[in-house]
Amino acid sequence: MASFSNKYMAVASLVGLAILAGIPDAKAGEYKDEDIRAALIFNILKFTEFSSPQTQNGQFNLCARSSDDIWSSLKALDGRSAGDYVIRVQDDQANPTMSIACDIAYISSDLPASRQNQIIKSSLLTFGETSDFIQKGGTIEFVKIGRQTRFKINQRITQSKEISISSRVMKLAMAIE
Amino acid sequence: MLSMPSYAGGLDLTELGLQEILDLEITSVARRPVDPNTDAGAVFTITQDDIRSSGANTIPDVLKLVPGVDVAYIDNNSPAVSVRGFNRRFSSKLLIMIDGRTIYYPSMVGVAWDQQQLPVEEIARIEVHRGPAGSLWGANAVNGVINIVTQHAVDSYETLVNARGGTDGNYRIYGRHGGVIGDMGAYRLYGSLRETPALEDNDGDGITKDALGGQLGFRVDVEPNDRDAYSIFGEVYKYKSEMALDLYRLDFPQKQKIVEDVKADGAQLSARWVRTLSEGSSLMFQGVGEYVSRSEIDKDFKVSQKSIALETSYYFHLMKNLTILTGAGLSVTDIDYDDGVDISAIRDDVTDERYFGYLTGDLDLFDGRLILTSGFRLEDDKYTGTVFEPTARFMWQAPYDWKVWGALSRASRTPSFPERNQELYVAGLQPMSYINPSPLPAEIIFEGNWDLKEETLIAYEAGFRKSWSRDFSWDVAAYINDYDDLIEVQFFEMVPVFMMHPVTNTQVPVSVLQFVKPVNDISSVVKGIETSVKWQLSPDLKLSMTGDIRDYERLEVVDPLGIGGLTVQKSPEYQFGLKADYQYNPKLDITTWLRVVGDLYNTSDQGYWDINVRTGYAITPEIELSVIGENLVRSKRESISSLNFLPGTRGHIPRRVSLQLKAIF
Repeated sequence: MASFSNKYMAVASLVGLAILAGIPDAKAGEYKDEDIRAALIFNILKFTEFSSPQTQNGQFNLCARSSDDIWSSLKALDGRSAGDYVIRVQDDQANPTMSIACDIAYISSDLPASRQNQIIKSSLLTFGETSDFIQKGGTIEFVKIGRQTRFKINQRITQSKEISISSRVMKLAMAIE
Repeated sequence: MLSMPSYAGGLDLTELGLQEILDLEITSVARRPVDPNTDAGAVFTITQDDIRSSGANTIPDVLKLVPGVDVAYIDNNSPAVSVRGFNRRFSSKLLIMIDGRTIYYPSMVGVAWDQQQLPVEEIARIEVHRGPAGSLWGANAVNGVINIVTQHAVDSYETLVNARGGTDGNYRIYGRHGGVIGDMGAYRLYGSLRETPALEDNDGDGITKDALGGQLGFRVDVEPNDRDAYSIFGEVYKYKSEMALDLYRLDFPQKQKIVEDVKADGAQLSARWVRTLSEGSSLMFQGVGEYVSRSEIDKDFKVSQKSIALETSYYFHLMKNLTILTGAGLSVTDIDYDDGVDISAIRDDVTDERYFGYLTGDLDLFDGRLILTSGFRLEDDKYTGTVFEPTARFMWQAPYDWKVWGALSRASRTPSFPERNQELYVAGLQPMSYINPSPLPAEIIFEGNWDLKEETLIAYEAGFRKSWSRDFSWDVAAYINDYDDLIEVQFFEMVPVFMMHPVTNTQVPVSVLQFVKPVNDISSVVKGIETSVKWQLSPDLKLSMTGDIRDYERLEVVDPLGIGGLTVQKSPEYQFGLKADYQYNPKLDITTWLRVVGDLYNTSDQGYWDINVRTGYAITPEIELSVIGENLVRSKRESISSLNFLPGTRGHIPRRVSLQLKAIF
């Protein structure tokens, strides 16, 4: 085969693509954080057992605020089966007196502290995104480092609320506290 | 390879497993998002959980999980790994990448597995692409590509120590410390030390010393914003062992075991920058600087390789249903030979330059039901000229979610420097032996052949896969590999050596000098089928089954001197594996792994079957104790010495029970 004489083409390509890297208006990463967190919640629920769920008829109530960014991602889980239960997503803002029991709750960072504490105490399993969520008694805390989303687990709470999270999930936790 | 649809464009993330979700933002060494389920090729992925449950201690042992991959041990310390046949000591038709950096060293005609010291705990996943992938990865990706991806630094946010010792004297210790860099990144430092027991004869007497290897390394990942990801990797390693050869010096009247040192060391520093330009579009730059050296057979002989490689790739949507992956790069490799008594180089210093560019397009038709992939790679090497490697693939999403794929590819292996440049003297092949049938001892002079051209492969592949929910999946791949111009060693001259007889005072023949050189002289066809089944029977029990069978045609072995073996086919005719992972309770898990390996084609080496069992008990979430039993069926089995390029002493793979303690601080 004839020699590939234009080796400078390769070098030129390197330079050309380097210039391309400077293209402005670059958008964010391909995946929405909220979709990733909702998918993680769904997977964790599949590997979690509750000794005494508050909701009957084989359903879970997953509570979150409809004004939160994650709401639409969580709402997409409504009616999906996780383990032995069907997930029902409830709007916390329409439930100020907690008349609907929340088995699981997603607590966003801008929720007032008093409401956070109220939900943490009344729910079996809570997911949160503030840096001290576990210290406040939350169960699973999402952590964002760079573009990576990871989670920490509060084992003291899982034991006190008699929740069994599979070792498959525990192994992937960033920290177990 | 095909890309998965843009996540934001509709892929349901809840259909992914936990580990897959956590890996979403981690840049694949495939240079673009890849979904094994929609890939038009034979792809098998090993996760860190698979590695842990297997109890495997080294990367070659981990690769036994993959159908179509042949892993054999030449002696206690020298693994040989191949995909779809052609196994030998230095994997020559296989491209191995660690975080996008090739460890195929042209100075060694392949991959020197024994000197690779990357601890298995460092690995996030291993993507094994069986079949030619030269259109993307270039020359030497003939029979497959193994992409080893280390863990993102975020996933080692801890201090961890893992110590292991076995009944045969094998021990290994690994430690790492990781931390975060603000909220934008993380780092990890690690070190490992491994000792493998000495080679023993049938009576259990030591022939060689223990092998010792260690590595220090680090990884830093920084992602200061949503569009830029920077990674830096570095490592230094050292390895030392001994090799026992079935040779004898002619000044000794009796056959004498020659035990030679094997010494290797290396260091590398690499950096990668990935910029996300828009949804489904990204740009990658990578630079690698590396030093590797190795000495064996002759204590004065050493080959050193210094290289610098730069590469970039660009992945984007040209149209809504057409994605393009293009890239270019260059590498400069400087090879120095320190001549020894038995081995020398025709040219002592060689500087090679390699330039490449590639272009691949994925055309999505009928709403994803048919994906056509076509691409090519041009690679120009200073010594071996230009190589053109095209591919054409399709993936058809058939009714009932059956995924059917097919591919036609051309790939090539360029001759390496030793094959073209090296002179090797091999002393004292035993007369009247299977490797030297003449009545006189043979001395071999190997001369490199500067006129060698590339080995080529035309591959026809097809396969299907089907998932019944996420709990059961079945994957089948079939192939016909048509090889041409395979390189084999042939002898071209024979000269008797005479010495004066001290009594009769006449010239008597004492040995035969045989001159050999590699030539492009063999063609062959290999046909095979590979399959894998994954079945999650219950949340606690998972079964994995793998199997492969292959057949060879037109492979004429021209190797009367026994020192060839550069291409001689010595892989098993079939393999089967069955692995059961059982989570007894949250603290206790048990894995049982059965392997059946068929007879080695073209050798007298017989097949075997074996069982490994691993039990792990989490004393606390931070401390795990494991008991690992390997090769439990018999007290020991023979290794496959014929995979070496020189006649060597068989080692024994012993039954071994190991205790492992892992602690996180």
